Amino acid sequence: MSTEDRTETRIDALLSAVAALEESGASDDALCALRQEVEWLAGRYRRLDRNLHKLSRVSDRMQSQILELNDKLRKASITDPLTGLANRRGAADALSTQTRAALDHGTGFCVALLDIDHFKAVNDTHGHDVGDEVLEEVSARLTSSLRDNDMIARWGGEEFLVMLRDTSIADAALLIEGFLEALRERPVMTAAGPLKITVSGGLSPHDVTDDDFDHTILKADRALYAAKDGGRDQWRFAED
Amino acid sequence: MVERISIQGTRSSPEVDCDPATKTLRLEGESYPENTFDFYKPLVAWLEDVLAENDGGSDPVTLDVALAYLNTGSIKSLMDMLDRMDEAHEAGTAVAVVWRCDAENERVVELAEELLEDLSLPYEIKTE
Repeated sequence: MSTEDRTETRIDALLSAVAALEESGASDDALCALRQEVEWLAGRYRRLDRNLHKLSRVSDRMQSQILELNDKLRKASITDPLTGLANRRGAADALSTQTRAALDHGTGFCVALLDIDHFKAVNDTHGHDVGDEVLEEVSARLTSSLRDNDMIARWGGEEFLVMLRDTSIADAALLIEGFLEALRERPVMTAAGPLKITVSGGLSPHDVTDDDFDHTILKADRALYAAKDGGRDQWRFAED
Repeated sequence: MVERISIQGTRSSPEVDCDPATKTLRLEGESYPENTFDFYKPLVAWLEDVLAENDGGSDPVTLDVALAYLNTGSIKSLMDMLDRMDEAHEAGTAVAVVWRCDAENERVVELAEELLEDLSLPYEIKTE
């Protein structure tokens, strides 16, 4: 029986005893027994009250732990574990928010797709650990050469997507050009020694009247392939 | 004579061994069964029976808990068991509580302390 059930049973018995005492002249013994019952119930009540408080505290704690865990999981689900950048899903979330903002307020943005040149050769020649080092270093340099407000994501294996908020195509071009140049000039230090790493890119402005960002990415992707075809280590504007 | 209750553990319910020979109720695993109160009701009743039947010998009626996770209903049921044991202890029955926790599972250590600290019965929180 739970403590509540036991207490209810005792309360019922107590009420019957009180009713019986009222009907017949009460003896001292009967009153003493009644007092003991009341004391028992008071003790139970205090225990229940204490347990209720304990349970509330424990439950509140569990709830905040669940919320914390949820938050961690949510972040993990939109983050690339190697580079710490947004993953494809995180990027898609940010892009769709920005696409809505563009429709509602007319704030433009640009999308750049950047792909490390000859990355397969890095992996094949030096192994995947060195390949990972290159990905991490390129991510770090990309992050430091862009602005806090820009969203950088690992879009695929060695491909990065950059969303430049509230940026004209001319300013976006300067940022991308700056990044390519800095990378070209300073080799990436790896366990296999310094490696000369370059990146190709495609840059596309988003049409603020478009309710979807797929077309913008498609254009950036075509521009990226044009840059690859043009000899790599360069970037291209998207064509309509 | 109180009968032995043995229940195999599942992913959401603990392994149970209520052994009248050792007067020990042991719970091990994780505890978030589908219907928590139905799960614990016979265990609370078993404990009540063993406490009532206790011959006043020096072997304590023991609650041995090794639960890594408990839902709120399981915590409430454990509180009921502990209350019953605490009352019996106050009435002169030998009782003991052992709560085994993984030292890295801070949440359970904290929970065990919260449930046990203001009871008068003897208890031990073993971090392993």
